[in-house]
Amino acid sequence: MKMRKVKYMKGAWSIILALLLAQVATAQTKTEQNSPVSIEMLKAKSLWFNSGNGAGLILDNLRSFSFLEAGYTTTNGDFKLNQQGEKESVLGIVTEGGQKIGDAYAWGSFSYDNITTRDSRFNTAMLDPFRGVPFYPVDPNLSDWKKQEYNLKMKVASKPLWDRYIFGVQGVYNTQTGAKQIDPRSELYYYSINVKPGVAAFFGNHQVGLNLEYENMIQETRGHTNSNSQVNQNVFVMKGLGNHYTSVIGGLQSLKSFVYNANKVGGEFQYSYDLSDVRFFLNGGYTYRVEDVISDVTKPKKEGTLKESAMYANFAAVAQGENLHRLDVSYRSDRVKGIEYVQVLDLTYEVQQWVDLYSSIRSTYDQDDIRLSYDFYRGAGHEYSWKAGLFANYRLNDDLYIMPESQMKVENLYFGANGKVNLGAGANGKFILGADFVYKNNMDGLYNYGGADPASIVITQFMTPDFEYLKQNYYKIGGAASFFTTIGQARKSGMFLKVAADYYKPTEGDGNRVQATFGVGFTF
Amino acid sequence: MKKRINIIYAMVLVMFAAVSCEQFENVSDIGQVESLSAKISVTLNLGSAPEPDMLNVKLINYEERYELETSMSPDGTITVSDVLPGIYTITVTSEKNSGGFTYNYSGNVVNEAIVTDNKQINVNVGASKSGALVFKEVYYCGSRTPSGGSYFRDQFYEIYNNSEVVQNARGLSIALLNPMTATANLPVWEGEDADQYVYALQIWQVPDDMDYMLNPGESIIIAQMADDHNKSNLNPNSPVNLITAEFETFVRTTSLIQDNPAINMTMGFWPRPTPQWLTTVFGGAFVLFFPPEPIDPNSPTEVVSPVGSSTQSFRIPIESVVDALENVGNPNQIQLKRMPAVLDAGAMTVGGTYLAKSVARKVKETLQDGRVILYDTNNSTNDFEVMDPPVIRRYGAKAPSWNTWK
Repeated sequence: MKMRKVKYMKGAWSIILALLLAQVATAQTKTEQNSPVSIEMLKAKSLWFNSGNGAGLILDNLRSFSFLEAGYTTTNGDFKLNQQGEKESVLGIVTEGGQKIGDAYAWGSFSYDNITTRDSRFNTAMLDPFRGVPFYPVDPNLSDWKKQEYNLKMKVASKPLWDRYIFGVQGVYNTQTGAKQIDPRSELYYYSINVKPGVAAFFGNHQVGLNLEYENMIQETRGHTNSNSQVNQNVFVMKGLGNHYTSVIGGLQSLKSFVYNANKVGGEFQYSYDLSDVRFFLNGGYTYRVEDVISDVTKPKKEGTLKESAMYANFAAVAQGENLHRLDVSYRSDRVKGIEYVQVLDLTYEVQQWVDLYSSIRSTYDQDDIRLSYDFYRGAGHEYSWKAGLFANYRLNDDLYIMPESQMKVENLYFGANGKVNLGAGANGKFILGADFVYKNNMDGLYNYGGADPASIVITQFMTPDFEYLKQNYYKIGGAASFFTTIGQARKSGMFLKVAADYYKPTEGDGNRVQATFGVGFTF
Repeated sequence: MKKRINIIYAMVLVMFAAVSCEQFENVSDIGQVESLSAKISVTLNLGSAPEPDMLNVKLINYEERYELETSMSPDGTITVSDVLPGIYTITVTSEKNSGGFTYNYSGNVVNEAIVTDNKQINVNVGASKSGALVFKEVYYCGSRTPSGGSYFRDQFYEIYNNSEVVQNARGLSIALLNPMTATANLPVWEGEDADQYVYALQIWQVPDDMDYMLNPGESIIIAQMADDHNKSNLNPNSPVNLITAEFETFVRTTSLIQDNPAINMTMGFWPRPTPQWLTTVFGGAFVLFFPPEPIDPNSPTEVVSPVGSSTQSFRIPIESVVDALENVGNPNQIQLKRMPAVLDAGAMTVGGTYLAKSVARKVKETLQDGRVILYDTNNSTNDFEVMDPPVIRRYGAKAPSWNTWK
């Protein structure tokens, strides 16, 4: 375990070093000074940047940029899901840089977060209980969590070959570690790697692209323990929509640790078209993912399997004249099937292994997501003077446990507005002030549990309160202010300080949640 | 150059396919769950008992906590629908009063996989007169001391005369079966007739020195340590005072253990005894039996070990067992049964350790004189319930007259 951690760290620090070297190189060669607003503007003009095709970086004609930011985020309040902490704090650092290398382009980012979660409930062994896996153990004890997360991303695009083709690749490497701080305890390790090789070609004003995708993920629990070995802890192993079986951590029959192993493949196409001052972009893709959940690595027993397919499509248009207009429309459909197994233990003395007798899809989890947004940027040059945006987001979650039947359906519509203003403050300084408002309107919601134990605390204290939260209407008011100033004699580097706060309040009932962020950063 | 890039892309594709292929293939043709049907038939082995009028059929999927219940004619078959695919225990039971006796009819098939439609399952149903001596209450899980420590010396086993006739407990034996706790790794026993026995790790016996008569409605208490457990040097939090127990499994005195008024039982079989007869607080499987032959702890034929293990066990013929009770650590372990279904088709649990709770047989009926008749269908899941706190001689059970220290 320690060896692996050292290996992760070596890899992480190698990437940081590479990025910092890139930043120095950028600072030495660029002509325009980067600031948080200019980097935001650069991305607003980009169409291929957020696609799955790294080759498209060349087609966005990105300039070199880089920044480094350290921040602290604290979140407090009882308007939350059970598994969220009553209080959460994140101490993080993120660095990001893009670099022209001749006619090629490379982009990378690294982030590290140290996360402390206080008083979360019904999560025994998941670093991220919201990542969509229904098979995991929970316990009713209030507990703190300590987590660390490393996230490395890179995109590389070749120079155009044969005056037509660009080859590229994207990669994301994510590792997380964490430990639950109250009995029953768990120590967890998570890793995922995602690779997307791609190719793009351009024909006059038309550009097309295609990329493939492969992802591998593993989450391991390194044993469940109790600090107080005198008291075994009851846990509930979830199977979806509140269905569960009971188990115990501690003693001779202690619940074995879970291992999650997933592979994903996919593909995406892109098309863009340049029409004088307007650029259009269309992309769509499909991914297929399978995640196995087993308990007891030495005598594997299948707890379940997830079979996921996702289809998505996005359309974006950017009109750049005196000002910048950006329109984004996206649709995503996720269809997840939860497979469960009937297994028996082959008791043959030399064998003793679990054997599958039957497998079937016992639950389905469907999500449809449609989002529309429009952003206006006053000024279309290096920076904007102010910006305003509107968005609407429709999301339908329709989950079903087939036998015995349970159903959960939540249909929400989010809409919001945001704005930022970029104010001069002396010769070398700027204030950026922003505000945003979001309203969530619940259109429909139902939860019917038809399982074996409706009186269980899993239903009464976990599933039902969480469902009530999911269907609540709320509004969010957010504000942010940052101050940016150039530094150094050449004034080619900058420094910024920022504060931001978000306030969430349900339209009915008590409770609220406040998130505050403080950050300091540098641009190069 | 172009050719080289194409080769690299092709290799990447092949690598992706190879890595993901097996995992994807495993789930490619898995369809949605569908309910199944099962056809249940019975074979009656009733001996001289009369044929029952109707049979109750119960299918229990312990893992899913899913139950189906119906009834059928003894000479027919029945199709049970809405069966969730899984592992089932099928119990067929009935009861009939005839000629002044109450007959119990029971048959079981355990760990039966119902994963195909219209599966045919035959259950052998036997008949017996209601058991005379039965486990009435068993307190195995122990209790907590005021400082939160674990206390296990207050375990007891209450045995009740559930019949209409006087019973003699002389020579009655209680055994803890192998394996000690519920486990998926069941021991494998050698011999063609291995399934005709249960295998004891430890046996204690009521002394064969005199008759120990039990009238209907009387019970005897077998205590691990027949002391007042509320004493300050023991556990003031203990739910029981066992000073009136008829028997104790006394091994030797220690600073905590003394020889109490209770009659000392005879240690029949226990290869490696400890100062006290502590049975597992996770829930052991127990049988009451009258040994057909005197227990010889060194018998070359009756003392056996499971395949691959040197743990010695004493084999007990199933036909000599008068009652049985299987306990497990938590409800999910009920499917990890180690007791033959013919003795106990179910299992019980208090759900944890050191909870100061017991399992006790439910009352079937209360007679005019106040005496209770307890359920005895050879299925502890149905017959027992969890009690908090444990109480000796609940429901007005009386101590036998020869207990002069009660």
